[in-house]
Amino acid sequence: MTYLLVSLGAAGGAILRYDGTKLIKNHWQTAFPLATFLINVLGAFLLGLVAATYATSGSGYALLGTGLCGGFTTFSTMSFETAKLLQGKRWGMAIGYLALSLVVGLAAVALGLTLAN
Amino acid sequence: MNELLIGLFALIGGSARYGIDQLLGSPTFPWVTLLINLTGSFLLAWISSTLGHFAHIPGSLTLGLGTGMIGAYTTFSTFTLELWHLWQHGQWVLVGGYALGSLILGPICALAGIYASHWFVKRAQQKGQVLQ
Repeated sequence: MTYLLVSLGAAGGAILRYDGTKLIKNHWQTAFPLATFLINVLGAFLLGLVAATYATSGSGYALLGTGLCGGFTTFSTMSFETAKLLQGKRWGMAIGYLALSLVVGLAAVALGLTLAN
Repeated sequence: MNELLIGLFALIGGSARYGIDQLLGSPTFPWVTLLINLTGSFLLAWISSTLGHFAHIPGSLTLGLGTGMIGAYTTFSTFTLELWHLWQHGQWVLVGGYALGSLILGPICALAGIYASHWFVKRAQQKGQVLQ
């Protein structure tokens, strides 16, 4: 049952990530991987809200937290984009991308937890 | 149409992440998320760099496997939530180790996936497979 909730949430999250990425890339074409950055930060904020609202072992968290936010955000795309920045010798942008994702992502999850509490 | 395909493949990626977490999860160190994120970084780079070379593999399959399955398999939000919990418990060594380990090893695994893909495509060319 939990598998079903997690996978349905992850499917919804992945579709939102795909459409969100397309939308952002249509509006802003930047060398900086803005779309993944914004999606990951938004997903971290939402997971903070979800984690403060539902017990992390319950079905609400399975669907919206592990599933939706987990499938919406992505770590592998961030790694792959950073690898391509490194291959293009954009060292500063690669380090900036990782550092910003970490700091803003942590702030976003903390903000979500605080707001929901 | 792409959305349907991505959603279907994300069912696999999301439940694989949950299953591995159930199997290997530990309350003290979030190394399962690290393991998932690092293997996913390698796989996404390999899939994205390899499949486009093969004439008989449709682009929508690359999208489903990469954006759908591996994108949903790895997760950034859980990474930040676990880091925040470690931070709140004053586990500074784990905070530093988990953050730096993820952010340094992730791109290294992706680079490894890109190089593995180059090697694989070269081998396929030598064997005379149909490439684009």
